[in-house]
Amino acid sequence: MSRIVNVIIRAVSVAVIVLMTGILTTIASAQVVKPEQNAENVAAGKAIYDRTCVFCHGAVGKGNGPVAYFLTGNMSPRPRDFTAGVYRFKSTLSEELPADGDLFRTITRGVPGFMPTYSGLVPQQRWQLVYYIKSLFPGFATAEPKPIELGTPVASSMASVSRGGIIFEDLGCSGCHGANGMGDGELAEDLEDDLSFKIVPANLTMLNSLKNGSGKGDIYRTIMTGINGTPMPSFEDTVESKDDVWDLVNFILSLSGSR
Amino acid sequence: MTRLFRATRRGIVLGALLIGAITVLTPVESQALPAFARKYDMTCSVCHTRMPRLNFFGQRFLENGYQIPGTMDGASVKKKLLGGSNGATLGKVSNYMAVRLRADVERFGFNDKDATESDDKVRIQTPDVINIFFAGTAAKNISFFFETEYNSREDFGGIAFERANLVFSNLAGSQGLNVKIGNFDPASFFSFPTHRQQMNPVGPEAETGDFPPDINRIPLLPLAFSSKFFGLTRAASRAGGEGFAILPFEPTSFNAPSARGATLYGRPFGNDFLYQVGLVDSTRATGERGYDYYAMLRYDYVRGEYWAANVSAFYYRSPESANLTSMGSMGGMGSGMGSSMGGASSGADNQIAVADMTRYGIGARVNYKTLDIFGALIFDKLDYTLPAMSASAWDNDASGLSLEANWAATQKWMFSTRYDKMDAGGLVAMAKNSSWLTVQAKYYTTPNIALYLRGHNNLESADDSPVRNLRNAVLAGVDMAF
Repeated sequence: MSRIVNVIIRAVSVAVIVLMTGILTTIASAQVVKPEQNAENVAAGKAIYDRTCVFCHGAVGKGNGPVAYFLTGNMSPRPRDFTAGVYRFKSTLSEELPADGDLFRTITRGVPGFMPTYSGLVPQQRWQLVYYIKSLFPGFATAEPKPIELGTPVASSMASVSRGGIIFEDLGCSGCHGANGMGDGELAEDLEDDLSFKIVPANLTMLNSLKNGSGKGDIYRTIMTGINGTPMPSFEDTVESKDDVWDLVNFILSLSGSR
Repeated sequence: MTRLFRATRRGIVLGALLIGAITVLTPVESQALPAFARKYDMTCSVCHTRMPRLNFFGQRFLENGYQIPGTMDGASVKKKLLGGSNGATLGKVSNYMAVRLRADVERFGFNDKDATESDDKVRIQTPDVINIFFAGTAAKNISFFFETEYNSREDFGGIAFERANLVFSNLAGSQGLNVKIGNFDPASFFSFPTHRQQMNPVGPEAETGDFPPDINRIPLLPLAFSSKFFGLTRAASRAGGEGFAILPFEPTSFNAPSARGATLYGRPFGNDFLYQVGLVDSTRATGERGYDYYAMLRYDYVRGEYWAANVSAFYYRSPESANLTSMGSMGGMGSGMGSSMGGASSGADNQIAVADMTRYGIGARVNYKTLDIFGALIFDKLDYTLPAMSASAWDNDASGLSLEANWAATQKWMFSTRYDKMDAGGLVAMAKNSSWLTVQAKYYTTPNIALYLRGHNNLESADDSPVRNLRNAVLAGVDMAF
């Protein structure tokens, strides 16, 4: 009898171990959201690209897909040319390539107005897409992009917004974005991007016109890194302190009533 | 002729003034966006060459059940989740609902004004056509579409139910099998879809209760879609079984604006080929119910530098689709029809055979930068059994060609032209070929509001047939969606 009990106990134990192993494996695999960058994942990324990105970015990623001209005509923004290595939305300094997380973020969020969010792809697919896009520009092979430090945000207050307003003028932001941030500064009409397409400054009173994101961190990042290929410069060497930038962020958010 | 020329000129001047005035008075910085654009925070031109035509990305969005191509995002994107991670999703009504308004000023010119009851004066149709849409994703891979239309142009005017369907997407892996059920446009995936015209169709003015039909003004639409056969009638529930004449210009079978049934489509062999098969409810010539069936195959090439193209071919079969109807005695017919023919008779009195109808055709489309060129060549065939002597009075084959080009010269301006040619079939004594040239200039004050000026010109010489009586038409109007 006891032998039978022992056999049952062993069988149950084995079953529990197998079950737990399965559960833990499943949990572990679910947590591995960033797959390894290898040829297999690059190929998987290409397959996704051919179904989703080819229409705007073109067959080989040169930004010359069949929808590119319909999208904005002879205006900016145009779909990115991934073979040129010039990226607009990133957390690294101007001269650097974007970090993987930057590409992942843009794929996930899209670009308001012009590129849909691809949050419908599971994270693994988005990472595969990142790897394929990186494979289109050889510079990524040796690059070691470092995201900038954001520091500690300054809480929004009347004082902070007021200081930010002064910085807004001191840095000359109103030249393009206008005194009220409506994108109607005196230079606005004559701006062009690096492809000589006319470009319109962001209307800071409408957060969905901020293509690089409208969160506090997004705006901070945009000010510090600039937007490559556009007239928006990096102010990393211009501002005196990170707190100044956070004040400026608070001022910009106040323009849309969302501080 | 001089009078006609003056009238046409007046129409053009009036339209130009209207467009000019609205152009000056309308602000150009509006960011108004229709439902899907609102939902995804995108401008209309992500999916449209210009509203309402879809670009190659928009076509895939449609195919994928209103989900971003390559994804299955229906349940999550921009929606609230109720009741936990597996709960129901709910989005804002404005993310599902859209309204399209069309209104215009029309001027029709006739060769013989006395031969038609159609109003040849300048007339203002405001609002002319209003469509209300509800469309979106109910859950992951389940989408819906509903459209109702108020159309003051149609004879039966008023509010009509147009299309409503459910789509179940990605049933056999990504892209492999999708199922659409309900009322839909069978040709929506064809290279030249029946709907989404840059030059909106203008309906006919005709009475089809008697035979031959009394045509006061033919419709203006892509003639490749037309039924093309003269001398056909059909029993229908709405005609009380008495039978009604089928207008040779009526868009039909594969190109019917709406058909009830089911269609399966997908891309099981990669991104290049799209298949579609379908079964749709149909009223037989006898008034009984039956089913038509069809198949379509499309090849897409989207890897060009700023260009993409597709070609497609379809086959559509409609058994016992129409009655061949003679004008009393087979040999005694005049050359015209309708008001020019004198007294009309019941079609049911002169039905001589039930015919199967087959439609097949090819279509092609090329986009280059902001140029959108497309066309369709569609053949129609009647199959029936008649004595040889009578059969000689019928032409069993017809064809239609429509070629269109749209060029978005700037973000604001689009110029369009279309050539239509119909080689008519059916009762030889009645059949009349038709060909038209249409040109249009469209000005987009915003991506979703367009003002247009359009001219239609009949390329056929005039005779005593009502189908040749319309010489030209000038329309100036507005087409907006929000």
